[in-house]
This record gives sequence, structure tokens and C-alpha cells, in this order.
Amino acid sequence: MLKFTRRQALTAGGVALIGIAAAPVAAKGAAQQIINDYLAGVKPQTKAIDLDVPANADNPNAVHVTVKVDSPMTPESYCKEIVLVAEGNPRPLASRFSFGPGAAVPHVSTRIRLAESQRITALAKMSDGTILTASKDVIVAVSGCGG
Amino acid sequence: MAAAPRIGINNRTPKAGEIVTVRAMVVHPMETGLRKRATGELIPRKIINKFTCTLNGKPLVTWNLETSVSVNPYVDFRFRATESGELKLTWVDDDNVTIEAIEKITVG
Repeated sequence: MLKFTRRQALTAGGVALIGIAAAPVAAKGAAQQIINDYLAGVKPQTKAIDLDVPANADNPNAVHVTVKVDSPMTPESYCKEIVLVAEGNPRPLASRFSFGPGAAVPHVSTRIRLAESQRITALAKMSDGTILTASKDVIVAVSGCGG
Repeated sequence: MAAAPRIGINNRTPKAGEIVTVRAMVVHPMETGLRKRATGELIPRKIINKFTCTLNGKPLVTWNLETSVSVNPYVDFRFRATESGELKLTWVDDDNVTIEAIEKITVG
């Protein structure tokens, strides 16, 4: 008959926990892959970009996300794109906004759904090739991917 | 298709150089393709995957939506008033169903 010592029981429990945690880690790996692909070796800067997400998502089916990039929006210097990544969602890439070189202002909001507590990352690509980034953590009590 | 899009523009008669905010929402189920029916089969994906707004035919904003975007997708965006004309807002979903709306802007 098998006899577990306290230590063995704890170790077994720990291994089981790691197994449970592996699924969200995979999703985060996918998110990191998306971010790395987008950066393509460019080192992102954390200035001149503002990401506004509530710290607690009361309704995870519709979480209001606002991204604002500080850019003069002249033909010489403008923001080309803003990308939103919900790092813990089954499909982490949430949205991509592209701006025309004319009159657009790089300040957008939308509503996204979140599967679990996670980090939201915004990336902005500027006309000179620099990339700006900002991240915020959101706590989700109930999943917004009701299935 | 569904109900007409709801569009709010904070200033339809802006002065030149003023920033105009456009808020827009359409009714759409935004089915992710990840959910299952009670019988176990996957519900096929059907989302709006693209939104564009042009002013007199010139692109202001293009939005590529993914499955994370909420049901009845909402967006707000801004542009600097430079010329009078027509704002054209277009939503396209996975079945190529298109929703269009046109709004007039008069720069004073």
C-alpha cells in the first residue's frame, strides 16, 4: 500500500498545480510571440502613449479600452498604427487601428471582452519606425467568454 | 440586416483645426468561433472584421477587429477638421455583409 509523507503529498500537489497553470501560460506565449513579431527587433519606448483600462473589469464582456498617442500628426511625423493585445485571451491580438496620413488623430477607444485577469498591451508604430508601448493589468472576476 | 448603426458626432459644424470625435456602434453578435452549442459542435466564427472611416474618400481610420472585440462593436476616434464633406463609415463581417453610414461635416 502506498504511503505518502507530508512532503511527497505537497510535491504531488505542486506538480498538479503547475499542470493546471500551463494552459494560460501557453496563451501568454502566443501574446509574446505577437508582440515580438510586431516589434521585429525594435526596442519599444514607453513614452508619449497612454493606455486607459479599468483596473477591475466589472463587466468582462465589454471592457472599455482607450489608447492615446502623443504625435504632431504632420506628414513628416505621424502615428501609423495602434495594436491592442489582450495577453490572456484565446486570440490575444484584439484590434489594429491604422490611421491615414491626413487628418486622423491617434486617440481611439473600443470595448473588448476578457477571458481572465490579464495584462493589456498597446503598441503604436510611428512613421519614423519607432514603436511606443504601454501595458496595464486588469482583474477579471468572471470570464467574458461565456461558453 | 440588423438595426442601423448608432453614430454620435460631437460637432458637425467644427471650425477649421478643431478636433471632432466620432462614436459609432453597430449591432452584431461577434460570434468568436470558440463557443460550443449544447450538442458539442462549434458555433462558426462570424465577426465584423473590418471597419473603415473615410472623409471625402480619403481614409481616416481603419480598424481590424479580432474575436476579442465585444458584441455590438463600439469605437470612438478623432480627426482634425480640415475640410467639409462626407464621412463614410463602413463595417464588413466574415460573410461580407456590409453596413454603411454617411454623415455630413461642415467646416465653418
